[in-house]
Amino acid sequence: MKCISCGADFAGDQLQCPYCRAVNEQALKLAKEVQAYDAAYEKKRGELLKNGESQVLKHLVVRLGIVFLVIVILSFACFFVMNYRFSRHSKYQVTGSRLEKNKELIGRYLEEKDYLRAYTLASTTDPTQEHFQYYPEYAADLADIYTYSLVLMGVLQSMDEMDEGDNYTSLTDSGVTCANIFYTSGSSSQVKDDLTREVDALLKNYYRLTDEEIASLKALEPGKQFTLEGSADVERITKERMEAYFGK
Amino acid sequence: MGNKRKKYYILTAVFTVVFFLCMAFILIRFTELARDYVPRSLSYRKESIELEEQMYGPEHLFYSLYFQDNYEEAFDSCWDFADAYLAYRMGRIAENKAPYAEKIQTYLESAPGGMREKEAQNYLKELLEDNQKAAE
Repeated sequence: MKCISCGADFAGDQLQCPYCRAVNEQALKLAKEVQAYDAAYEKKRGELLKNGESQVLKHLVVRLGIVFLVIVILSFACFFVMNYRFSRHSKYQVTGSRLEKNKELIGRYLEEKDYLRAYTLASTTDPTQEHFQYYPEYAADLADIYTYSLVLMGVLQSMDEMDEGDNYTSLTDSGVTCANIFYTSGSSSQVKDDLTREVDALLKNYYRLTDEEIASLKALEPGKQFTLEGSADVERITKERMEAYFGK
Repeated sequence: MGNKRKKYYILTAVFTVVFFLCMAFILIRFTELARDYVPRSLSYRKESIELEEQMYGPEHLFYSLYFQDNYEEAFDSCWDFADAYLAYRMGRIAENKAPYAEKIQTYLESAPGGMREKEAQNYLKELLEDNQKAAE
């Protein structure tokens, strides 16, 4: 370009004429415009970077939150399924075809007089346990088997103590209560008849009660005291009889 | 650091902490469930009953079956022996031992052999001897 002061030729981008040092207004204006543009560009760039970073963080947080939530929900779902299947008091065993199969097995065991096994199956699989709400058709028989088992286990434990030479247990108040509950349960079935014979035999053969004493135990009203030979100390009297009979 | 960025960093940290807390909780519950289930599993109970039989003899089978809730088909042979064992215990205190001896005899007809058959034979022998003594 030509200098407006001295007319010399010089490059258009120079801010001053190299010969007369006159200011090149055009170049100066351009330089200022470029400077302003650069400043605006830098500012805008800074803002865009900040916004972009915020956007990226926002997306990251949202997606991370969703992934975590899905994993946690799936884990809880797995846990609830496993808990339903494997927990102690789950209803798994008493739903659908499993309930029908269990009922069939209980019926079969009761027919085969495998009473303890029928009770074990029912009390293990039914989450209401001794209430047998899932086996209502067998509930009365199962309750009788339970009280029978209490009397039986008392006898077996006492026999073990006797065999080991320990101070063995005779007929305690709790044994009397169990037997009374069994006799007065009000149910009547083949199972009850069989178990009644068993309990009668246990009371007679092990605890040495007479037929009349067993009959009075059967007729004993709730809350009344059972007595032997006019005494309420049933434990002592049966102990004496057992010692006399078994010689131990 | 801008407020928004700070907010997102805090949110990330909170999500991560909550996630790990939830997973830790689930892991603990899973562990408790497994620990509770293992002794109730069929394989554990089978091994346990076999071990108890080896250590304490077949007469312990009756208690193991009843108190450890072993009702499944896998324990059929154990229940058969337990019936014979119960017949023996009841026969010992009964005056008429014949029905109980018959039950043990029925068991022996299809007994699997081994310790259980030997034990049942001892039970039968003892009951028959007691029956004979009582008759005399």
